[in-house]
Amino acid sequence: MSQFFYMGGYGFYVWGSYLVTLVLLGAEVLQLLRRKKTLRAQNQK
Amino acid sequence: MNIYKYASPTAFYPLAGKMIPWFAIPAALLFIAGLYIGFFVAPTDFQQGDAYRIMFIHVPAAWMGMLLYVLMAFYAGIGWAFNARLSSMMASSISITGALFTLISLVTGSLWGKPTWGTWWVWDARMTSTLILLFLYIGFISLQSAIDEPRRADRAGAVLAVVGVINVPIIYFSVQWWNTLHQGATIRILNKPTIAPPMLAAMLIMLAACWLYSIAVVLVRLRYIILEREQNAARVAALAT
Repeated sequence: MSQFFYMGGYGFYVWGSYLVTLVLLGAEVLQLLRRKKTLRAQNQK
Repeated sequence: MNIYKYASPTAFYPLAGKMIPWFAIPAALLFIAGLYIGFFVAPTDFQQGDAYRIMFIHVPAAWMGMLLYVLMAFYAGIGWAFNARLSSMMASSISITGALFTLISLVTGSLWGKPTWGTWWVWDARMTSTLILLFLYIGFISLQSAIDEPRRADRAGAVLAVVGVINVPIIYFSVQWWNTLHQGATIRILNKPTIAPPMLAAMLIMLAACWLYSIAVVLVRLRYIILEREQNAARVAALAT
């Protein structure tokens, strides 16, 4: 298992790449969810 | 049934809502399948070791950055030429996702460059033109948010987007036109691909996942843009009477 995370010594670069992707796409989805909430709140006024 | 009906933002809104799960769910499944094949089925590369596994996100992200730009310019251009509001809103919606994928391709490229080339960044043709692509997206987004009147913002953005399209073929052919550190295209339309089948499969599945993800988030954002703009228009109309 640790072999898997080690990635032949490239762990930082490989997992770093996927982490950055996850963070950026996750931020996009979260931002959209927040926008939905704001819109709902405005509509109820 | 009149298909032109759906060119109207208010008619398109519920249709888009119904379409979203058909893209979002397959996108999630394909991301899982692509990553599984990429990490558990595809063998270690004999030259690059496991560093090459960055490719499964780097290449699809780079393609998405370019393809979404062309799509954004197309919709912006249609919205400008035919005065089609929905088309311009689509362009605004695409711009955010396109910018994100371009940023992902630059960051993952940098993380791949460090162990394999020994440097995070070089000012070579491929990377410089991709950075310009990111600036074009940022320019489009900031130009639109700087102008209050939506239709004027759409037109200004369209000019920038359409002129900037010239950068996309420059990125694509940069590895052939200039002597560069970046490797040439792995997948060509006419030639056989030069990588092992599971590596190719993982990359293509990830590309499909990125496409479906992009369509889903662009439709979600498009619905919010429609709501916000129609609300603002209603508020302005209420003030005027």
